[in-house]
Amino acid sequence: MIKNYITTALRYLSRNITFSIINTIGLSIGIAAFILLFLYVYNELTYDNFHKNKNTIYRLCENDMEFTRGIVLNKLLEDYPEIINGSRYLDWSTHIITFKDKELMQELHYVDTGFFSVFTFPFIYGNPENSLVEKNSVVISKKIATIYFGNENPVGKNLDVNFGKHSLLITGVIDEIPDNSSIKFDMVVSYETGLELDPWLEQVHDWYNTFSQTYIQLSPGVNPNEFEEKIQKVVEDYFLTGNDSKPRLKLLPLKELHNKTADNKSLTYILICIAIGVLLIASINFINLSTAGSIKRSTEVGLRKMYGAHKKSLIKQFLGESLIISFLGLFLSVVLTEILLPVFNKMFETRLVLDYKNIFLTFPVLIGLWLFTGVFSGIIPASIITRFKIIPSLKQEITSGKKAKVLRSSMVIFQLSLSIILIVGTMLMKKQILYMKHHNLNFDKENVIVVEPNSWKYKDKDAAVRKFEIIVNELEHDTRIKSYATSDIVPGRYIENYNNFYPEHWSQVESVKMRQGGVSKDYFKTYGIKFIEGNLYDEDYIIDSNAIVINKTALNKLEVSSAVGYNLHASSKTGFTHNIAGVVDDFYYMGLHRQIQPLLHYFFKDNDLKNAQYISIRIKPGEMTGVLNMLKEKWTSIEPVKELDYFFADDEIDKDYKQFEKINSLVSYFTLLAIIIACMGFIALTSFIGKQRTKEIGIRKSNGATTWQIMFLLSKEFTGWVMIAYIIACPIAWVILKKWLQSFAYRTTMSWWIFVLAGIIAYVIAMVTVSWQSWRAASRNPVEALRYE
Amino acid sequence: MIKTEELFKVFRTDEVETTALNKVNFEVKQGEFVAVMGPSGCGKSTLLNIVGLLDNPTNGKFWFNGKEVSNYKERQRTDLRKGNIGFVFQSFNLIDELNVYENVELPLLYLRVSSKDRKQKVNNVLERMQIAHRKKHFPQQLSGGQQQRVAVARAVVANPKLILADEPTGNLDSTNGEEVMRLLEQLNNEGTTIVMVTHSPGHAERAHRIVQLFDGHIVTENIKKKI
Repeated sequence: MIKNYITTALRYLSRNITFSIINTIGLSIGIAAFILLFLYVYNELTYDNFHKNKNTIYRLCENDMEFTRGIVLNKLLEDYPEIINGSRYLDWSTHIITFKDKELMQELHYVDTGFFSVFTFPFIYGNPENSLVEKNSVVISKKIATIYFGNENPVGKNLDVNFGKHSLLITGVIDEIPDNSSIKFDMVVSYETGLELDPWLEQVHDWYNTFSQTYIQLSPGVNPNEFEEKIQKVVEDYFLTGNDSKPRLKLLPLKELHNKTADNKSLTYILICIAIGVLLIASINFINLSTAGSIKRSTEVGLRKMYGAHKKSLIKQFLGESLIISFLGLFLSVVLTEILLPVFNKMFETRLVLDYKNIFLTFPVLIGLWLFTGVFSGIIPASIITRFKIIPSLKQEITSGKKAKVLRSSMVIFQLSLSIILIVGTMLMKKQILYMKHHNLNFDKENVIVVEPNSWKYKDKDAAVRKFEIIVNELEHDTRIKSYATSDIVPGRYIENYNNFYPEHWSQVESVKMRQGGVSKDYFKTYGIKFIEGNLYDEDYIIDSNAIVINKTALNKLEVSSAVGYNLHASSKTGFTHNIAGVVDDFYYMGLHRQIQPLLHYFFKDNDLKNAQYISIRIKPGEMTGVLNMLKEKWTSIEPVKELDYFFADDEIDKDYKQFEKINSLVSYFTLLAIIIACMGFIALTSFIGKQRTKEIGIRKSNGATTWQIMFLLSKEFTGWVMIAYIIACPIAWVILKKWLQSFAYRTTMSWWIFVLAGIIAYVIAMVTVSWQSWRAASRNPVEALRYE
Repeated sequence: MIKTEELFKVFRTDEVETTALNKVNFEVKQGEFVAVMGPSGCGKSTLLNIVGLLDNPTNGKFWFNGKEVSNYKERQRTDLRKGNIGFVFQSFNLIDELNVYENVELPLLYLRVSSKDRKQKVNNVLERMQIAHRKKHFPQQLSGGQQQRVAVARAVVANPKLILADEPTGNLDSTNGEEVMRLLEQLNNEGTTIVMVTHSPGHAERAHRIVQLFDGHIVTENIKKKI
């Protein structure tokens, strides 16, 4: 019997080749799209899953900030036996690392000695338990080991740091860290070692500064919520912030870390919906084409029933057929996925693979997809077909029943609604990105070039500074340059350096946490940042060493209308005194998806070329190329070995939007794919409808109807479907996208025209798609149509 | 073998009610060859469908092999049909996707006949119908006469006691029509009961008995010859 089913199925499919091709290709595209998005989403959702203790590791957060006070971990480890172990993690330090003649710049990460007990990183050489216990030991990645030592085991060898000032003993080598790890590093040393390499690290060890991330591993069975309550005592007892602004220490489970901290968390859910949507659109094509074509099978069904087939056996037969098609679709989709993966990876900067070795994931997913598409797509047509009555089936008097028509309309409406939602989503995403890119940032990003002197790269910093001074001197005298400033922050690169500032009696507010950075006097002039109070650029104005400039948000937080001349104390009420010299208008120092925070700029003494990270240069319009050439020439003359590092200020903020552009193109591509699959279905469906109405078309034409009138008649149904789909899609799109927009601090409006345009696009696509088949049906000779009867 | 009493069949749509059979008392004995005649729409096919257990009457009683089956559910009717009744239609009703052999094999599959027996039975019947040389062909590759021979082969392959033929010569030319009639007669001679709906008086004449239907009533019964 099974052989008979398979024979019938294969012959039916080959005899109805258009139907089979549309179904198989449509399904394969749908499944391939699903697999790609699944791999992407799975990668996102399984971040940090490889750590053995993943269920008991938590990141400590102060409110929602990723950094904590540096010594909170020690206190917690001392006072709370519920914590098995913990480690801080700091990734701010870059050094010149040398072995023999290999001298390269590497980023060092500082962790505590418990780091490798808490986290499970794959060691190739060395012992995770004690690899960082000894001072001046370092654990390196396989990549670093290969760079410096080739294939040799480097454990026991020494690496020089900063031209021989320090030496690190290699105690371990770890294998490649999985792509979806929140913590990635090439070299880790302990904080104790770090203190020698970076003396400023001393600042980490107090109850004020927040530099490090802190992770703890709780004993199994400890309730994290109860424990979180308990540790608030540490905040109360030790955090020196004053009552009002004391943060809450929160436990963020490692498992949720990536999802909570990534800016694109809503994207994951959007992509899941798109993946399912694309798969459903492809499956619906299958359902629609099968139900529309089911009439062709009526004789067979009638006969089988007549000779003793029960409903169950017929359902089995037709489900079997759809499982055959979906298996073909699955096979093709795997081929398609393999072809598309490299393109996808390149486009979206991922390293996704369809891992056939992972038998517990890949095969269940593929088999699941096969069964889902096969059963979901097959069950509805099967149940419709098997309901055919014997006599009308044998007399070929079966017509699409009312229910089947309603079902088919609903399915098409669903496809169209989904397409409209995707079109609206794509357009709104684009609009938001354009809004962010073209929004007035309240500073002038044009014609500013930023040079990175990178003094830390030099063995002799003083000599380096003398070289930079030659450049700076050139800037002073070049008439093409309007102004320049040094700083350790620039728009787009405001590092997360916070401190609490306490106003003297002039404000009711106890303290305000501000993001801080050092700049030279002309910073605000160079970037065209406007002062709303005070003016540093009056000719006779001299900046005190303790002067600071805050932004409007900081002023608002201080709940005062004027702040110039007043003092703020850093870290505590008696801390270092800063005097507010000016208040600048709020400007977007990071992307518009981030809220503007209270900012505080302190001033460098002179240009502080030893510590300055950046030299921002405002150039007169039209002089950019000339100045850049001059800078390069000058640089080469004083520094022939190292290249000049520079970037344009207007690129920097845009970089912050890269991830959104990535998302937008991802959604756009998959929207296009969804529309293509849906259109394939519409073409086939119109062809079926045209054939079903052959007699009607013949009669109408023989009574004088023109081809256009017939085409209008055939397209009328689709017009109705588009309209209903539009009415359904708009409110859904509105709700979803409104929520998505809320994840942006500054957002564009939900313009009505996007919805109108999406409707027009959907209508035009649907009409263009169906008109070809409608025209074919409508332009046939009426005699031919009537002869059909 | 077949007996109906006051058989009544009404077809209803939302607005129209059509009485297809009205108090029909009809009997067919084992081994009989009965022809049913009448104008279009008189209820011939409806009667044949009920007799063939493809449909239930609206009212009245119907005995098949001594069992009262007028209220049988679809599943019961299906089980009773299997192996007991063979059907031949005007439009042949072959499955386009199956070849001659596979079309004929179909009733045996649902009777769960073993593969070996199936092969033997199908080959035998194809030989008898003189269509064995075409067994790998598909319906569209055959002439109308050949297609109907395949349909007859399928109807008899399970050796049913009753064959119901609904205008079996309606779509055939006279030569092929004659050929089909010859086959039916031969089957009847071998003991198979046959009820045949036909418009052709000539073909009806070859039955033992002619039943005339008009507007859902049996108007005359003309016994031609004794079995």
